Amino acid sequence: MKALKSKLASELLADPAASEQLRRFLVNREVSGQRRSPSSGAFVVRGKDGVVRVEATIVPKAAKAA
Amino acid sequence: MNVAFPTLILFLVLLPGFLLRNGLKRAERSSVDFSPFGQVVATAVLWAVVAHLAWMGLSYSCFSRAFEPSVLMHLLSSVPASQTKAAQAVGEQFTWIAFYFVSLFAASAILPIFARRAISTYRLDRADSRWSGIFRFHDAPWYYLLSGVDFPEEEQPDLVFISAIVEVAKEAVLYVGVLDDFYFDSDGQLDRLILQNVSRRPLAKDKASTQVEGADKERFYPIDGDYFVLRYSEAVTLNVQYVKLTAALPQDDSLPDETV
Repeated sequence: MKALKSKLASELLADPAASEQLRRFLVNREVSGQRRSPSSGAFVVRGKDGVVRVEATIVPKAAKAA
Repeated sequence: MNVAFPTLILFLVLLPGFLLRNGLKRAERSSVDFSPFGQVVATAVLWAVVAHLAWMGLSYSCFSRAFEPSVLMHLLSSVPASQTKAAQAVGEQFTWIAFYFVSLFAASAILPIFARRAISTYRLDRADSRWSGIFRFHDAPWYYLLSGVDFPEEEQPDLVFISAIVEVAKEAVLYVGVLDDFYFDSDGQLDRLILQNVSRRPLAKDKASTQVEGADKERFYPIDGDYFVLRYSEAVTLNVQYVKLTAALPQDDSLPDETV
């Protein structure tokens, strides 16, 4: 089953530079006790539609998620 | 050949209910349905009643064909003379009755596909939807966890970030990456996760509280390759995070290229 992944996320992951930035952002999020709230990171995605500035934010779990 | 005719008739009458029930379910297991037998039969009988009522109403309003319960009762009867008389009545209208059942079976197999799609499209099965009690697929907990459908539409995340601890050579290793795909085994258990953009590090290399964030580049090792297959049975723990991406207006290449 395909996981949740928007078109913007696919474009970001297809761009090696932006993908690496996202990886570093998410890895930095793994530091226990030092998380910023809200945590966010900004990336530049160079996709087929041109250059887009994207901000990533870790969102809390849905209120009544399974 | 000795055929249990009433049983066959009963099977044909109830079959639409089982077809509708199976088509509407979104279950993560594909082998045996372990739902309690009584629950399965009760649901199927209920669906069969609904389907027949709808089809009989349709056939009466469109073709002026009315259902004759006495014929069905005689068919289900164990008295041979009564059965013969009813069988003759059925034989006289065989084409019409065959059309009724074939069209009902086809509708019972096809309509749930569209109904399930509509439920997902209009998010009627969301945990806090007022219709979730009716439409939520209670046999698919991983689907709700990993597809993010429980978020309100305006807060829908863009991707799922997974952190998993796996024991490799008696050492705990932390794998992190973006979830691309997930599969179930025949019992409905999560079988494997397909990750992208994966990094790993030994858990022993946990960062000290005073260490700066830039040092993560040295602690995590990026894993080469497009996709990483993580078997759920080998994961000790699994952490799920949702990431929301917000795109600003297109800008020129002079934008900073580093993470803020």
